[in-house]
Amino acid sequence: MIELSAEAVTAIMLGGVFVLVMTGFPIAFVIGSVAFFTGFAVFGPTTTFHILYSRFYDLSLNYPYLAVPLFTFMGVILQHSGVTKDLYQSLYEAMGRLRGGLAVVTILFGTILAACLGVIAASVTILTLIALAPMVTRGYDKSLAAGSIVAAGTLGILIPPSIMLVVYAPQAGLSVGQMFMGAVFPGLLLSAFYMLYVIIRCRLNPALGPAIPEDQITPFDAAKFFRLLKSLVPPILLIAAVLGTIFAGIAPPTEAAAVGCFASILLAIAYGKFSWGLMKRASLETMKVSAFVVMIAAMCYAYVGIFMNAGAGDVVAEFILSVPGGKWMSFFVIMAIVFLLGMFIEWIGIVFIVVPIFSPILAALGFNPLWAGMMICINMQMAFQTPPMAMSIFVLKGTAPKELGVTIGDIIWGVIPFILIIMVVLVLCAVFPEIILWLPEKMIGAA
Amino acid sequence: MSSVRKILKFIDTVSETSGWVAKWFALILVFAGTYEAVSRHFFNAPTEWAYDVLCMAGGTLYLLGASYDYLHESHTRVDMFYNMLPPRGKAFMNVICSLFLFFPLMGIMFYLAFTWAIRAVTIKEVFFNSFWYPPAWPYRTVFAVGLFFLLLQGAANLVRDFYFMVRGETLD
Amino acid sequence: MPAVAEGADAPKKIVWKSSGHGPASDPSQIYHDMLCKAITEASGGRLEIKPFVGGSIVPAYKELDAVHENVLQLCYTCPMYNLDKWSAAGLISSRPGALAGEALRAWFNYGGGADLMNKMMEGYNVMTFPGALSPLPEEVFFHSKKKIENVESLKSIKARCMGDAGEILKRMGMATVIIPGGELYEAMKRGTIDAFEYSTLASNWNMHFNEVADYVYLSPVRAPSDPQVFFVNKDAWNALPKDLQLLVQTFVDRYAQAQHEYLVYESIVALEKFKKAGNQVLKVPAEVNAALAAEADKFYAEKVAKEPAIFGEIYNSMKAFGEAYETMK
Ligand code: NA
Ligand code: NA
Repeated sequence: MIELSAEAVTAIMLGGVFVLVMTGFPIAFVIGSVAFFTGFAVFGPTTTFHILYSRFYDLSLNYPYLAVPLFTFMGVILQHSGVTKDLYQSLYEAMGRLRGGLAVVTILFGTILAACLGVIAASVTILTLIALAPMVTRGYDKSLAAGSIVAAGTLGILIPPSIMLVVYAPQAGLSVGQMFMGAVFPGLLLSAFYMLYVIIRCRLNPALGPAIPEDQITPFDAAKFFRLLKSLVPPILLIAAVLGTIFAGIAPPTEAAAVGCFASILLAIAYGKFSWGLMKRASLETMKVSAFVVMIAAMCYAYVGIFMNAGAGDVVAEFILSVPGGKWMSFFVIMAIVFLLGMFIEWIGIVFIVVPIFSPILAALGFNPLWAGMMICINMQMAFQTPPMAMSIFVLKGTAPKELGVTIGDIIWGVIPFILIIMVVLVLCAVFPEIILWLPEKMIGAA
Repeated sequence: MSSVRKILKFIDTVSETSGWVAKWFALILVFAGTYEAVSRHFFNAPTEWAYDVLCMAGGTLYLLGASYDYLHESHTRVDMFYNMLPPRGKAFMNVICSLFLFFPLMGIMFYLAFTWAIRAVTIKEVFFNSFWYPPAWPYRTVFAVGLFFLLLQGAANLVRDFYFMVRGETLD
Repeated sequence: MPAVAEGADAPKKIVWKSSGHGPASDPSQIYHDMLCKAITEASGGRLEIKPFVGGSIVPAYKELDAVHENVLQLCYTCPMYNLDKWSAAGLISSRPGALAGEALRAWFNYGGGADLMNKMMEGYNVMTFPGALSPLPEEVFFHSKKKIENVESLKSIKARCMGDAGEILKRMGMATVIIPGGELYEAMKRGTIDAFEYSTLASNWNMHFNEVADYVYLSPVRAPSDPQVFFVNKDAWNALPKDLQLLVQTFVDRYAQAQHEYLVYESIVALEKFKKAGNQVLKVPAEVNAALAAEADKFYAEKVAKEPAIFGEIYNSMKAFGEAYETMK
């Protein structure tokens, strides 16, 4: 066993992931191996193996993560039963005159999905399956298309229901309900800014999101309007099935996802699209996506065990307390650290690293805990989109049909503007804390 | 070489079959989850098994799917630089990386999974999320088997990449 | 010449890692962390115990396995979280008919409780010792949206109720539901369930459960206490010099008791907060308490017949101690 300072381990573990994912080897194995070798060197085999295995095994049985396969299944059924293609065609015709119209529709649809899905991977998966091919085959810029999907899909983790908020709240001694309320306006604000960004960019550069060529535009008549309405029915029914199940109190989010899958099967039957082939295909696709997503999640979760055991969490805390410049500078440093950690570590890891260390510091600095927690969660939401460890990007890449030729590079370029937008919204929430605090105080009353 | 090809083909078939089996657990998730919601809400009769069945079905889906994903190149890579490499360069990268970043980690994980599967039998380990208390050994075993298949597929991938790296042509 | 001796002969510093079962804001985690710091200071740094939040190193509730493997040297957790290995672990946890605060601690420290627990864990590289248990105050019967008037009214309640109490209440006709703690708030808010148990009044207040249920039902029967126990790795323990062993034992004892007292106090404060927030604080009708106790007796009699011998030993020892304690009162 090598004697290494906690600072050195922190640097090695964070730097190791950054360097080694660049080899292009599957990132689950890279992240696991960085923890494996660091742990082996510092703590020896027994401790390292036990930590990695017990966390790997534990995460494989994680109940909230079941939303990953379930919402994937729902998305695949939706896609292959053909109903979403109809919807997209109709929406495209309705919004064809608007440059970037499909990307706007994608963001709008992602926002609605966010209100019924609580797992990031699931929203990105559905949006990728439904919206990517229509945009790319209609000449949209791949980066803009991918960026819209990643940003809109990631809203699923912020707009309630949200696994992230459910895990965060008890760790910080906050109310899940208040956090849910607090997330609503920042989430909607983000969504609005995303759409505004797409519209402005496509206005400036029409090639990014072409409108339907003038000669192909036919008047949007009653028949088309009816077709649009008809194509809107299945997704709305499905969202109603999921949201309805949750809001009517029939089932908590994970089971509601199962109910949504069941409803999607019924819809496929009703629309005459049901077949055993469809079932098999949906199941296979679900297995394929959730196996790699959960493998990454499990390896991140394992990694965090080694990270914490090395005292790397304390390194971070000491660093913050040594920063000069008062309350807001410390807050800025905390946000910067969450952002940096978010580049490398999956959000569950950040919650476990950040909350125990930062909550007392933030409270001591006199920040409103709900506001501060929400700021951290909005920030953590960026972690899904910041490379090298960017779950949303990987999911999009893993789910995207190969023939579209969307590369990781395309996606990353597309995501950067959306990350800047999130930063702008964070600044707005800092200047106007009411964006976060108004609704919780209105709905429940300050506690 | 033909016997090597046969072995590789066999391993592919194992991963395919593993995925073929795994995918049905997605349907178990759908139906068990729906059954629990309906039974509890409309018949006031929550099950004591749904929670554990869902968790185990999910785990089976992921673990038995792992080798299938490796066979079909579905484990996500950060491919910015990787894609710039020529085919033999990619093969070289895969050989080196799998020797250092795959086999040590997953070999040990399998070894622990294997010992835990046995331990689960000897200590009569159970799940205690509910008072159904199902035995843990079946899932512990699936976990180990999934990792074993993943290792097998990793070995097959390694042999293929190594052959391609040396010869510049595919083995199959 | 003490300055010279220091470098050469100073005993090697011993470092332990210890985990609570979290979360960070939970009083048991806070007391665990305070204890680790106190031992480190009191030993003059000879024994440094690094505290970790539950779930940060090994998965939450898997602390004992990690102590067995010497990944951790100490942990503070509910015995019940080891039901995966020992069916008897649930007996020394929150359960109907268990011993309440003072009686439980007396049983554990003097009535053979710690010894029985060590016997249960035979073959594992883990032990506990007298003083290492904090009984916690009795748990709320339920936070409920519905009134509990009699035994019959249990049958129309969908409740999240874990452990043996859940099984026993199910036998009495209640619909018991398995929902993770993190989903409780939502499940109540949306009406998925009508009632639930979670933790002590203070913890429940911190979870803002006053927002989702109008009635706070108290009863000494469902969970008279929810003990938490320190477990230590045997090898790590045996490697400690005698004086440090004594120091650890003394401090563990002191902080376990302090946490209990603090939580009793916090519960009283929390109950006032629940009332002030508009919740009705009610006692479970005697009829329901009696029926639950009777059903629990039947339930455990069946279990004793079925489970390994240690189950009966612990159950009967606690029962006998409880009866003797009641006689004394
Ligand atoms: Na959501
Ligand atoms: Na990231």
